[in-house]
Amino acid sequence: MIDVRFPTGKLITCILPQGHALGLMEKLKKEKGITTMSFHHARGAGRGGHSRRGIGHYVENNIITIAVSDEQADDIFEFIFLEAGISEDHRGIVFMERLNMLTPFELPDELKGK
Amino acid sequence: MNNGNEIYVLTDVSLITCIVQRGLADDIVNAASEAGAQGGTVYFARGYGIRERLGTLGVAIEAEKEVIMIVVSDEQADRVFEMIYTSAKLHTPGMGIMFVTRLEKAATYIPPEVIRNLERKRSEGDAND
Repeated sequence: MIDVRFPTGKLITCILPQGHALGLMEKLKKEKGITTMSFHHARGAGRGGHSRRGIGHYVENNIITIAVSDEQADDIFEFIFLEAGISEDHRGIVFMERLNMLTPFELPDELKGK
Repeated sequence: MNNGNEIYVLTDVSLITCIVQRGLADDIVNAASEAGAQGGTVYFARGYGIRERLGTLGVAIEAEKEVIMIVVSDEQADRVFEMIYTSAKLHTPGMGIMFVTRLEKAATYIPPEVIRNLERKRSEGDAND
């Protein structure tokens, strides 16, 4: 049995309109040093805008998931909110949940800054 | 007013995640919407597990899955969960699974009139204290 204590962390998920994920991930990497993230494609439907009754039609989305330490979490959450323009209509949603365990991910020194 | 630099954080919100066979997601999002959810996000995935145990030669259960993510307020969560459970027939073996995770916080666009109402209620509350 491995006797290692893994720290807790946070999982931040950001649902954005199609095409916005790569730019945001680049900013997260350059300005915040985040390397523990991935994105995938999805489709989403919501109320308002497109339809008066029920949900509207589906549009393409990008979903970014980022695992961060407890210390970084609020800062990264705020950064995403502002950089992705989440406060505007039809710009998506960002949410954060607690992780019970998180494996540390540190780039080797020779790769840092590349 | 939300000028883009203020963050109105939503607390007491949950994420409902539902994994079903491909092709069923649209009906589930509609059912969730009827129960009060504001919408949903769907993506494709590949499932593995029960397919090999059910049906002839494992063909009864689609390996291709749809994953549905729906963010709801805590007070709506039970109702939306039950609605999805019923409409997706999740009581039937092999139809899929669903779970709820508690979100620490969420942020999205909040219409200005909603913010105005919240600020008015807050100032009325402060005046009564």
